[in-house]
Amino acid sequence: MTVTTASPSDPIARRGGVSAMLAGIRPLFKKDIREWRHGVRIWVVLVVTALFMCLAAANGWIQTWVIANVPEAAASADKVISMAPMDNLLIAAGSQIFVIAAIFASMSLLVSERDRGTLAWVASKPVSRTSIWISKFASATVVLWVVAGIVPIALTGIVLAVLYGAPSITGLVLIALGIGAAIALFVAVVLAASTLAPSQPAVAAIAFAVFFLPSILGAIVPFAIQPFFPTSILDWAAGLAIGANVGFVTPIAWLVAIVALAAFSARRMERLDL
Amino acid sequence: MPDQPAIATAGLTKHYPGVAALVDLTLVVPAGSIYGFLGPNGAGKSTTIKILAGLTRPTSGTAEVAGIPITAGADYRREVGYLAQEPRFYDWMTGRETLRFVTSLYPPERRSTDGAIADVLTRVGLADAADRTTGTYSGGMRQRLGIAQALVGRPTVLLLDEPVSSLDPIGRREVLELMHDLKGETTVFYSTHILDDVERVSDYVAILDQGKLVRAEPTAELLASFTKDRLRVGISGASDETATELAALPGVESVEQVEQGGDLRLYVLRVEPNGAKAVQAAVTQFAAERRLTVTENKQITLGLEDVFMRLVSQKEPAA
Repeated sequence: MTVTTASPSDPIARRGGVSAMLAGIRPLFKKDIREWRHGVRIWVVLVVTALFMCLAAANGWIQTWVIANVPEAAASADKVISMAPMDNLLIAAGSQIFVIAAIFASMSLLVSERDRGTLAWVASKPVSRTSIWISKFASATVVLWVVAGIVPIALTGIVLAVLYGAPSITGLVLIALGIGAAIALFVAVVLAASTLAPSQPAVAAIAFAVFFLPSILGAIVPFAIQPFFPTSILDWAAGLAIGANVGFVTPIAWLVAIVALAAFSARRMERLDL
Repeated sequence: MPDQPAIATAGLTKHYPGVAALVDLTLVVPAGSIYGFLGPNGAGKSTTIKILAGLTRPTSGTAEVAGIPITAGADYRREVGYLAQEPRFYDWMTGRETLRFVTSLYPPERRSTDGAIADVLTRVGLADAADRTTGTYSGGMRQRLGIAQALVGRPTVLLLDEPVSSLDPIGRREVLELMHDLKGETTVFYSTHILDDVERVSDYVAILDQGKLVRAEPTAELLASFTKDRLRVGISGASDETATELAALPGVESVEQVEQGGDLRLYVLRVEPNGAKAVQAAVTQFAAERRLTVTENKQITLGLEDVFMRLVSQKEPAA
């Protein structure tokens, strides 16, 4: 009897067709988008992110009001508070609350499906596992970009216009795009970690390690390494918004990271025993 | 290709760290059959079905469905309909939406229309509950929806992992009847540890123990291999010499006295192949000549449970 080692992913690679690699992607994406619309998760993300960013944007105005109206606060005030719309927009975006929201909102996507058995059910159909991963990545990125990026930035823009004057539309758009890119990166990190880690806390731990790593390394290494981190994509977008010379290192690092995470995840997905 | 087996495996093996879940499984499942895959818990049944469903990679060996190797990925899986041991669906979808979602995953030529989906729902007895979310379904309803979703892609083979083990008697009967109805329409390969079910609906049976195939053959032949060529004979008024005299009858290979109560003795006669009827006549004549009363003179029939226990527990070879 001839015994050969089976490797289910090989023929897909041999076929070489993108259609085989992306089998079932369209219905999977539609299903994943529908799944986001059920339940309260997107509303929680929307409310928390919008509230946090609007409050961060209003912080300068609130502090100025307090200093003007509370003598004790005026006496202890020791810093200059900017009332420029762009400065306060950057403060709101710099909180990176949307990254935390994206990590918490997406950490269950693959793990809970695997635990419930629905991942095995879908994977037993004529779809590719790469499609399953890409569909989850794309749907989570789109939904979270809308509810944790575009809508909160739009509301923040209104707050800025009311409190400080109309902000630059280009600046708002660039920051919204930067937020979208940051969300995409962390959704990819979470979903890649989900192909490795057995539980949601483990997935969240990996994602937060990636989130904090640049700050820790930046403090240790004696030269500016931040632009080389894909996680600096929002800083890059913010630099672009204020007209700084930001170069192309960061978006290239971001793109490489997304592609590498997708390739790693596709490989891991094919090897998962469900 | 009419002679093409529905499923063919060769040397299929799966090792987990420290455990050989499946060892060198070579199996041929004829097209159109209902094939029971029998074994105690931990025998490797679910592992085999998961490999055949394309969910688990074998450590070594090959498997094909309708000539398409398992390594063909999505092309292979479109030939297979799979029902998990405890089927789970998206609980926010209705039963009908679940089937629509499943059919949308197939290539256009394999997709079912809304009418066909309604027919499948009727067939599995879920027409009235089709527009309820699956989160409200009972275990039996989920099992029936599981069969329905496995059918909508019109698969060559249905792989059912313990389809009735978690059901009450009514649900179990309904699912078994449904499986029986599928005969000739598709090949049903299902695992179970409920022996009665295999005996009731399966054309073929394979017995797996500790990851190894013990026997695989048509159910009737497996049972017959343990029951034909053996007679159970009861004689009233028999003496100690009767066993020796019975052994001397033409066609009798051996005689074993298995029970005695008063002057009634029970014997098991092992006879030459296909010689049971002649020996039965000889026993009747033997008793008449000696004025003995024959209380029993029949071929031994064993149920699948007895056969299974002998094969798995005692490793007894068939007659």
